[in-house]
Amino acid sequence: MHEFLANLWFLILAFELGLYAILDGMDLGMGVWALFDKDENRISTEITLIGPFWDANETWLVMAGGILFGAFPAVYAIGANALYIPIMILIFGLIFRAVAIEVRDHSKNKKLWDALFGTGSLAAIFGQGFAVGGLFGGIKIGPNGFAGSPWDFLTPISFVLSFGFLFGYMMMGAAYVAMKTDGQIQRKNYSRTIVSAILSTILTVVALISLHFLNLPEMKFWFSRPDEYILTALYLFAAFSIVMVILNAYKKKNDKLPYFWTLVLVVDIFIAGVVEIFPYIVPPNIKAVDVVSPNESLIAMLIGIGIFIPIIIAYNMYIKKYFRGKVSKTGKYGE
Amino acid sequence: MDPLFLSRVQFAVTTAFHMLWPLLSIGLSFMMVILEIAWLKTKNEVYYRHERFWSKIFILTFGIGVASGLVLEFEFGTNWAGFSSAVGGFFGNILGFEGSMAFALESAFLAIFIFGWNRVSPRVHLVSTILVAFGASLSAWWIMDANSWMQTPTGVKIVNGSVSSINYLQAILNPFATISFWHMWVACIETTIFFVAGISAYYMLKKQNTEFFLKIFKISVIIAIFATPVQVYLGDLSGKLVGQYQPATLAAMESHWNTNPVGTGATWHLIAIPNRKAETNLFVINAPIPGLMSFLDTGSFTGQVKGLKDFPAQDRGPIILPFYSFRLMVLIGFIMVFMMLWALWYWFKGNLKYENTSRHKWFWRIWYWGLPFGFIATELGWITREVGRQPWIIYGIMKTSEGISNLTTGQVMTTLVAFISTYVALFVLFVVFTRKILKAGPDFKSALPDWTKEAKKNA
Ligand code: HDD
Ligand code: HEM
Ligand code: HEM
Repeated sequence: MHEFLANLWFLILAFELGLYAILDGMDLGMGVWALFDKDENRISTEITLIGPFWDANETWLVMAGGILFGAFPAVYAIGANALYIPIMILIFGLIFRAVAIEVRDHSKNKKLWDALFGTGSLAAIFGQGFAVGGLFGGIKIGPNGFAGSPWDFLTPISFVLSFGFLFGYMMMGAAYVAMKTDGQIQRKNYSRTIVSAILSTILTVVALISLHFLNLPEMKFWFSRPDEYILTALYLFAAFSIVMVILNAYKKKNDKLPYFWTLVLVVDIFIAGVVEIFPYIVPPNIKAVDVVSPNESLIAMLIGIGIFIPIIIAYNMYIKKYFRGKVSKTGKYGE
Repeated sequence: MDPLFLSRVQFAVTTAFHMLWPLLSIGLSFMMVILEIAWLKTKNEVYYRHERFWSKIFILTFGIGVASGLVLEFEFGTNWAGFSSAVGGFFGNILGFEGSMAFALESAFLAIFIFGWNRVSPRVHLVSTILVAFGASLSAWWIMDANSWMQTPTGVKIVNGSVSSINYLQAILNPFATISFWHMWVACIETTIFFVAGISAYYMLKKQNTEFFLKIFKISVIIAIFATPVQVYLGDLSGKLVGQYQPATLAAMESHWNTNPVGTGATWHLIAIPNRKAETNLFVINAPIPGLMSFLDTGSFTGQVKGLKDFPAQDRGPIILPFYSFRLMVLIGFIMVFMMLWALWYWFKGNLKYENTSRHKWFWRIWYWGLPFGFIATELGWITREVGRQPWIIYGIMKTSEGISNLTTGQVMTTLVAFISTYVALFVLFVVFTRKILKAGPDFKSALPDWTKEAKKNA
């Protein structure tokens, strides 16, 4: 029972983080593209797309934080302690992005806010990449919690992962804008989708290779465990999805397909990542069940959080229904 | 400077800053519900114009509130790892409940509230507005619950540095939870109506849009009839609870050294200069009513109030800060009651009629100055509460110094400086852009939402 609950919460946590990566990742990706846009109207369009939803999307991160805190308090505490710097970069990035979105519309000098919007998004992405990279790179734990140095997160793998996040998010952002717009801005975003898809493929391959040099105990069984067949299948499917993304963005026939395939791709890679580390919550040696809260609190969380997850998804979909279709070119935030 | 001290300062700065925004976003979201119902019921356009006008300020507030709230959630881990790993099994759950029940609801329906005017039917819009307000208030419940549990930690067993068993009913309904929540919630309402009324007074003084803002001023006064006295009552209840569960905190709030002997009353100090070494007050000015402290803190003029000397010196927290913040909060609480009474009296005398607004400059000036009262009282209340409970992070269970993460001075110093400069910038931005919104004034021209066509097409 205890182990089942521990693994269940590990998977729910992974689900929330995955949802966050898909939903807010796309917003952050659009933010980074704004750095490349000279044209204010184009950025206005992106902000119009993000405006109603960035906050709801960000909430998945807040919930994931709450779950980690409640279900795996030691991981939350030691992890956040060890990853102080990347988490602060993430936080400041999100602060600046939020403020830029809210204030931009009231301001005459849009350039300043556009720059803040872009750099904020960029910082948030790198904060995430460094944090995940730091986790994979291993965290030194002593009798009194974290025992390493604040800079331990700066490993080659965290750079690889950060750029992987960056290009992945940019790909989703571009594909989403292409789906929701038309004309010149849409064409532009088709090419952006292709470029970032290629870059993220390269990074994914590099990340995978370096992950295997990490020597997780699990990976000693490379190719000898049933897990590895699943993983191989997932990576092959990822390769196929990338081809589909690029092909569909190139053909420009159906504006929903590139976005659809980027989603498939990200979900697939995310699942592969989870399979790769499960049941270790801090690879290479701490399992979820070793650090989970007592059963009472896990069950209380199922009642207080678990059953709300489908409800939250349902009302978010209900709300999205009112925002279907293409967005106008110079949509104004707050309209 | 050690990381512990810096982390305390950082937590104080970031919470104190965050606190400003929920005050307005909870209060304004409640105001929006009232305005929208009034508009749909009376079909009087002025309510709609008001809702749109105030919602601009609401959106700004909300954005900064979200950004600064995210900081707090992660700060428990980054700076208070000892605390978090010990009690996350309960405390983290409550933050999780807040996220899934409250934040998710609030942030999702916000999309319809802000962007949905021409997309949904009036009914769907009203329901969304209500859900935004409900979500905001529910988040206040959960966060106050978590904080109250730190003050009166019942129902949770901690063994070997982590939570081993929990009685949820006892822990969630800890002694402080209910009253603290209501005191906080009413603080949100009260702060917001004084903010709104203060802005209205500004327009009266400027003689712009007077008729329009007179309306919202009167609505604020009507809400104040309930909110201001109820807040004094809730504050009194809070004080009695503190005396019951945190006698050392109460003694510090009152700078009260010697327990009053049975049969006599303790006197209430208006002003005191405590001296820790001599264990007495170097200087006091007392309230002229004998036994007032006993009465206020226990309900009887001869009730016993424990003095600081009853507690070992290492368990005594700061005194001056809780003592004066508490008194100032109470003072502001009473001033707000009197301002409400003054406004009522003027209203009955007919001075609040549209044609009379250009007179009574002082009335409007004082209401204009009242604009920040709620914010100040709230901050003071939090200082009383948080500083008063020191040296405990979880009252009676864990000392603040045991809750800290393993950090370097450089790390915390850097982020502290970054937070302070960012927050100063955000505050300035808020003021600048709010003034812009106020200068531009309400928009009377744009078309009313087209409920009929658009909404039907989308529904
Ligand atoms: C009485 C009210 C109150 C108090 C004391 C606090 N908050 Fe808060 N918080 C709110 C009321 C609120 C709110 C009104 O519900 C906000 C403001 C804007 C929003 O979206 O929700 C919010 C936002 C907000 C967010 C962003 C939510 C989102 O992304 O939608 C987080 C993570 C927190 N808060 C967390 C905290 C923590 C950890 C606190 C204590 C240390 C805290 N808040 C004190
Ligand atoms: C929003 C208004 C709040 C303000 C202004 C505030 C203020 C403060 C201050 C001044 C301190 C430092 C006390 C000292 O070190 O002497 C502090 C500490 C702390 N507060 Fe609060 N607080 C607020 C809300 C909360 C809430 C809602 C929680 C919990 C959910 C909380 C939890 C803590 C913790 C964990 C500490 C650190 C440990 C400590 O120094 O006591 N605070 N706060
Ligand atoms: C005569 C009026 C008032 C009295 C007697 C009073 C009393 C108290 C007491 C005893 C506390 C608890 C301190 C602790 O827990 O250590 C408190 C806290 C607080 N007060 Fe007041 N108060 C009054 C007015 C106000 C006003 C006008 C506001 C804001 C508009 C306010 C906002 C707060 C807040 C935010 C807290 C901290 C959270 C809480 O305990 O609910 N208070 N007050």
